[in-house]
Amino acid sequence: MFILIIGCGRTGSKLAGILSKKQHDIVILDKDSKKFRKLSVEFSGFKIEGDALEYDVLLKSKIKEVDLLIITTGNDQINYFLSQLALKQFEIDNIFVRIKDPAKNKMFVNKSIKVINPLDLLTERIMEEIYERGKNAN
Amino acid sequence: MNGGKMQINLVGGGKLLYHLAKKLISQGHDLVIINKNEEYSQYFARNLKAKVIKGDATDPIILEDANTYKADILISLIQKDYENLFICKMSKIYFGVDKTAALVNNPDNEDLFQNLGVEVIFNITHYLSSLIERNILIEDIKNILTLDEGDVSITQIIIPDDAVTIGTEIKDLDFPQNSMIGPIIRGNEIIIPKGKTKIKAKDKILILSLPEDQSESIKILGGNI
Repeated sequence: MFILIIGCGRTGSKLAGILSKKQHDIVILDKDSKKFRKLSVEFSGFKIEGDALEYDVLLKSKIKEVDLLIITTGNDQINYFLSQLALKQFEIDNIFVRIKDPAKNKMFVNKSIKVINPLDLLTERIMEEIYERGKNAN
Repeated sequence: MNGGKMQINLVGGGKLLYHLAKKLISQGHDLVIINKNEEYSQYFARNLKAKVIKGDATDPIILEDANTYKADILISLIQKDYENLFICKMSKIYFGVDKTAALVNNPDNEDLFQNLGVEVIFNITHYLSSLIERNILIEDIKNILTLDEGDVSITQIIIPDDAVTIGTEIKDLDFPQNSMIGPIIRGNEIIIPKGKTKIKAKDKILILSLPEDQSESIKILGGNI
């Protein structure tokens, strides 16, 4: 798959390394080139320095050709903006968005957008664990 | 809405918001201002007859504190387009606000805002560039203000020394129907024009017109184009 990752923070850089190792074609975009130092040695894709809020930068990153778009900047509002831009203006139908604040989940309801909220995942995982232990104790 | 009185939620800061707020309050509307900054919020609270909420309007709790579910219109005037879009959409999706308006700083984003159902878009780059264009195109003519999404132009022209209209009475001018002559500045005097007022060289004349009638009005008064 051709995957574009926007945001080379902890999540973006780690995903880029793993997906690259699995033979996917990766482009990773960040406005700060220093962030690319987080990428592991396994990463063999393209790094583009630029602001994803500018259309030129997105076009240069070949956004129109992606099979999957992963949006993981550190700002929920930017992530929302980029997801809507990708959906409406570039007609991308396979989008993952990382969101920090669960109160904002409802903004994203759309079949083409998968919202991943670390806090929700964590609480779910803890609840599962509590449930499992409760079951074992009985 | 009752009797034209609306609750208007304004998000942002700066002079633009302050003056807009003052104008809306003077028209009798109820205002709620949301601003992140402590000092701005205090300033607005002291100087405007409005409810002021200090906080981040991308947080639904803050929008709730601002009674957004009662707002007839929400206007987001932040310098960052992604914040304006988020706040407008959140007020629609979470609070059912019917009408939203936003400042669009990057003209490339206008389509997206429209596509996502933000009803009113203030494209600041577009306004400024059209003002500048008109000013450069027409010498001696100053486009002071464009109101209502470009519907009314207020233009100031200076009558050149060789204008054919010098000495003509205003009632004899074949002025376009949708245009008006405003005050004339003659030296230190301000003249409210009447039918018999004669045009003199170096008069500064204000014209109110629809944009499409603007150049015709200027031509008839004898301004340069």
